[in-house]
Amino acid sequence: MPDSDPVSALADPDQWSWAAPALASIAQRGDRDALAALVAAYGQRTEASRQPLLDAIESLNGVPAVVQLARSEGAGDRLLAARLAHLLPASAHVPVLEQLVTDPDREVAAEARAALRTQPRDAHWREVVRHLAQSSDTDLATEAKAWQREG
Amino acid sequence: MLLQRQPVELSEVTVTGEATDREQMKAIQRQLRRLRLYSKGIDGIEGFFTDQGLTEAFGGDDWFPLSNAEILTRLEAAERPRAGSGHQLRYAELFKDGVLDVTYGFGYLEGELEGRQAMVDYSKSLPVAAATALTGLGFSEDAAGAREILGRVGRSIEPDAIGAFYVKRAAFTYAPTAGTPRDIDVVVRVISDAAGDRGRESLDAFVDAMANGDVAYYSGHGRFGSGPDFDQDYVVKFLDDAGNVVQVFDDEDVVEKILRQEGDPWAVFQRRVSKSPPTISVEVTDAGNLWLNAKNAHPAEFGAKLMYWALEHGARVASGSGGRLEQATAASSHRYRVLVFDGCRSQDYDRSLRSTGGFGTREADIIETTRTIGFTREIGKPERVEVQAFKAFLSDLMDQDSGERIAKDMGAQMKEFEAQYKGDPYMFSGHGDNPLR
Repeated sequence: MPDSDPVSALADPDQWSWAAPALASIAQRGDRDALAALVAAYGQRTEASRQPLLDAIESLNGVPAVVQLARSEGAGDRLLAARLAHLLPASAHVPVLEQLVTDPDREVAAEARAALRTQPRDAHWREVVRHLAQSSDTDLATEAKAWQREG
Repeated sequence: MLLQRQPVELSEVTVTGEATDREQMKAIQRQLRRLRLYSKGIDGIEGFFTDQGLTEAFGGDDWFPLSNAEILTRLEAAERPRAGSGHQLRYAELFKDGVLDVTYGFGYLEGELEGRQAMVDYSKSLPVAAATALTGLGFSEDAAGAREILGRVGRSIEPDAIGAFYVKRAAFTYAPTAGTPRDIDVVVRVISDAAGDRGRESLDAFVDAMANGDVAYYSGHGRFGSGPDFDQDYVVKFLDDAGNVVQVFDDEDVVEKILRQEGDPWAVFQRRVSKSPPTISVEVTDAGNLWLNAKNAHPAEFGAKLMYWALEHGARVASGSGGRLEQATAASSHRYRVLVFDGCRSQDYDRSLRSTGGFGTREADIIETTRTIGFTREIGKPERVEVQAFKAFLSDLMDQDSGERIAKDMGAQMKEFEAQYKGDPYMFSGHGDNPLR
């Protein structure tokens, strides 16, 4: 029987098609908990379409929420920022991710690096990555050089 | 490096048994039926099912040189086993050389959980959980011991072979109804490559296990029903009209969402990838793909379409006539194998595998899944749901349980440990022609 609470229904990928838009329709724009619930659902192991989740994240202002979440002192918020940037790439994320790739929290840093790779490769992205390729953090530098080789 | 095994060649075999006598064969079939190893008609014709029953009764091929009269005498002297339920696996085929050779391969995982690090951590936790589970079953990590045991039955392991090897000597006693009881040594090879940079080696080892081992057990992505995968599947690049890369994607759902802005995402993909010059390119990393199902079982899904497009542009189907798997089994001395595909919707593989030489229902029993498989519910704890299912499988196998019991016990582990458990996911395929307990 379908769960009537959209947040708990997100635990079941078969219910994403109604639960995700339902949550987006009742939550405030930029609602941190709603965005976190959608991102957590996205991480489930399934082959169901994740389009309802992405659409809901976008309609809840998931793109502009990245900047604010990235400034948080809570690592969970910063990780959410990096995840959102990874799922909804945009040039505006690049300055934020440039900071997060060296975040002291290793999960935040790792996700920010994965996200930065997938952002639009405009002049600013290339400048940031050129800088990172010279980083004293050898892992980060190696990764940045690999992105450069991708084109 | 490949695990290399050499079939034992007999220079000459003299068959000393007398010619098959139909009445005598009927008597043999009656005895096999009494021993719960034969359920077909008493027709006096020696065919697959009679031979299977004899092999199971004697625990191997010891009956080959015996006369029908000797076979009958041995069968008549055997005690009738108690009734059970379900179908037996063909344990004589698995244990006849005194060794149970199990390969447990973890596929490459990406793009889920709470991000990249969480996924890497989860991947790395799997072989650790496997080691804990195997230790709990009395195994010890012992590559030299594994090399010695497998070498004893004509199999060799390269010193730098991928994976960790666990051994349990005399793990259990196998006592065929009309054969000599014997202790069975068990070797478990765990293949794991969280970094995904040894995908080809992992795949080669797993294919070798499918053809030449007793059990090949896969745990990981099903790649939309296409098959196991031991490395990243592909990377999608968006290009400008001059061929410059403008964006790189590692997630097909994100690609689908962006393409949806231009219309039907698959139509847009096809248009852009075939444009001259193309504005989308896909870099296929196929080294670790075991492409089993040539036909896309989920043609309505963008991710499945993209997966198949990538495979068709960079991989070869391993199943089917003349495919890699058929070639491997043709060169193998093994007549029977058990396979487990603990990935999403692995029942999609069945038809393709069954049409592959060496993997028909008489040659292979396969545990498949009927739904997508979730991650571990309590990720902060050391147990991993996929490893718990494997542990139940191996434990039941060593107890010589029925196929139905094995699938049920694996399902029970899913109920206890899986996030979003939605019913037992496992089904046994191919055991309908095995002896009933």
